[in-house]
Amino acid sequence: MTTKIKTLALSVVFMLLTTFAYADKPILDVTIPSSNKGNSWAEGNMLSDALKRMGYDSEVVHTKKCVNNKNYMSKDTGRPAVFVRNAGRYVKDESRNCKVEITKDSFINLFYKRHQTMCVRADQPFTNIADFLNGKTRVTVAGTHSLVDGIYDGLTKSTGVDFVRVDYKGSKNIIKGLIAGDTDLMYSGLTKREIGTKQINCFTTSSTESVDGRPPMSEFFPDWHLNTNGTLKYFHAVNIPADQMEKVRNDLNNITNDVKIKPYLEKAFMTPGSAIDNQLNQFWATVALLTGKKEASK
Amino acid sequence: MDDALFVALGTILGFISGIIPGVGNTIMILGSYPLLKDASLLQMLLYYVAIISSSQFSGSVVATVFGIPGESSSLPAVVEGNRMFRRGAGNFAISNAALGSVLGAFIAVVAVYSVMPWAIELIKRFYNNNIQLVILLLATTSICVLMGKSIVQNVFVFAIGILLGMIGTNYVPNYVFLPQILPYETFPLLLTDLPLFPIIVSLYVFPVLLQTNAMFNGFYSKQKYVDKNQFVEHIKEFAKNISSSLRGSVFGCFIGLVPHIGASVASNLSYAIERKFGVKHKQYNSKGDIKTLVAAETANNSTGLVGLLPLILIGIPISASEAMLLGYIDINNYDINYETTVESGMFSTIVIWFIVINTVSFLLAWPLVRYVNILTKVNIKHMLWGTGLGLVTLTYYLGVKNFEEVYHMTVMVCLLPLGYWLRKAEPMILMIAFILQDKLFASIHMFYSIHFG
Repeated sequence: MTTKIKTLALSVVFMLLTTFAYADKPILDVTIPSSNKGNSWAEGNMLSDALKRMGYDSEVVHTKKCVNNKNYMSKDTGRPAVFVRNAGRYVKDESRNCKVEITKDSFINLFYKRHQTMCVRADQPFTNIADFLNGKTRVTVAGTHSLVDGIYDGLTKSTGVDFVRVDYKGSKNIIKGLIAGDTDLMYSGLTKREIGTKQINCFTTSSTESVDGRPPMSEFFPDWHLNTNGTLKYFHAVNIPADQMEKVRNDLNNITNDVKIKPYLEKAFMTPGSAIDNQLNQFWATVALLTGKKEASK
Repeated sequence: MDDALFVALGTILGFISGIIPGVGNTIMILGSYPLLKDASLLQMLLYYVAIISSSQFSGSVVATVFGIPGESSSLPAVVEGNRMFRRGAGNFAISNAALGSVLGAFIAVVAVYSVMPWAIELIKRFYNNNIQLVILLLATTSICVLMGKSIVQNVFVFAIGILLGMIGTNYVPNYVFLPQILPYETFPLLLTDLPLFPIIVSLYVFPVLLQTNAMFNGFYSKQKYVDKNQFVEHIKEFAKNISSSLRGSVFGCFIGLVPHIGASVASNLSYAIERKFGVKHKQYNSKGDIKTLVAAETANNSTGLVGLLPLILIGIPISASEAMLLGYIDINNYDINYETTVESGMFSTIVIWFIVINTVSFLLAWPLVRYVNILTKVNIKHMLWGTGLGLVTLTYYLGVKNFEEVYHMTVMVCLLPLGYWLRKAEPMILMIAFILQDKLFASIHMFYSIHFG
């Protein structure tokens, strides 16, 4: 009987200790307002793991869509969070009337800048863009539904070939669609997956310089206004108390040095946010380019 | 060990779902959300396989003893099994149906492994959006044609499911459904889509419970189950009927792929052909025929694994319970296709467990069948409505977890009148339409963009 009481008492002490240890950790969840099949999902999980390594109590919350995410932000969940959004997605959300305002407080900092890429199937001989377009009146391009409206209008105008967007849910499905023969081309962010998938040939990037043997997009489409436009991703604050903001800002600025995130960025030739100056201005400049306005709305 | 736990729970709950006629596997899967919300894809599939396999065994026992079908595929057991039971041969009906089910399951394993390499090669080479759209259209239109009594009514029910699925913000294609008509500004949560769980409780569970409740009106059973025969005698009896069992397996393996009604068609067709064969050769026993029963039950169990193939290879469900499972797989953020199931080696694990589950179910069913008489003392109606109440509570709980309990409960209550009307229709059609609407519209939109955009 005494042994049982001792065991019980020890268990209670252990439970209390672990509970308090857990409660001491600052909370920072990662919400993912997009598909659970693509890069955003993978990145969200990677960030959450990195936050845990930094001492946070972090969970991944899959909110699926901008409207669901906005609804989640309005709830008193008791758990501060961040979500990652790129400039293109911001423009698209605004056009869908799902406005999640960016302010100095909600914009924490940039996560990274990533190159955009164009790919064809690897079993198709691709030498240059002129040969590829030769004889074609239309080219179907697989991309995510979050790309801004009229993104290929400039391409159609400059080449005389109709570039038709085909929207997929999730970047993973874009590659599947291209391999399956649904489309002629794909336009997506250059990630480890685009680089490593042997069935596709990503022949160019939006960088101004050659990336791992891939010539710049500006050489193929010199007149396209988005030929050097990459993906700019930032952290958006969700219910983070003002007194914690500075710590969160510092930690997220350093998260690109995380043991898993650093090689993730390096392998896909991305620029860490911490290496970019005037981050908020850069963001608005990209928004302005995507919307075709001289100055962004904010 | 965790996987074994899911198998054990699935087997036990499958037994229970087979015992409560009309409730079936779909509602059992639905009620299993708290269990499945943190499960891995393998655990979810194992749990599902355990439920569908073990419920076959208990379902045919109830059908034989009480003469009430758990599902339409149990009809031959009701006709022939119950006749045998009434003439005192119910023990042989149950044992032979169980032995046939085990044999059917094992033959299905061989059949599935024979077609698997060919099926994967086919998917890898040809599975583009055009093919995907054709399969989705076949899967969705076939339910309107093959199920229920009226195609017009089915199309109407299907359309309601599609319309409910369209409510809110949609991305591929990009639109908000009826922004001028639906009160999105007053109820902004409508923009986030209708929640799956309250929809299923109101528009599937509620009408199914009403249908089952009506089936039990005036039901009463006096006769008790008795078995005075030895195990060997049962085996000897089955040996006499093994050719019927093998014929049933062949039907099950081929017809199991027919969307939505595979198990029912395989079981009933097998039964009809065996009966015709028996009548022709003057072997058919009009007071309960064991050969037709064995053929039907074997066919029924053969479809279990075969019917799972479209879901695990291309993520398309072909039954209500699979649609429900897919809903949970989506909620848990898993991809289900041949890469994540077959090429990852997961499917081989499932098959091994499938064999174990069927063997254990068979070994358990036999001793447990002696206690079937207890069911005559249980008020089945109370069990049905207790199940319903449990699912309403679960809806509230899930709402609380999403900070949307008022929204969840409001959606559920508002749709109850529609659920009441659905008791005279096929609620499964609505559920499948609601779950597949997203995929179907995305595929149609992509087809249009690729060819005409």
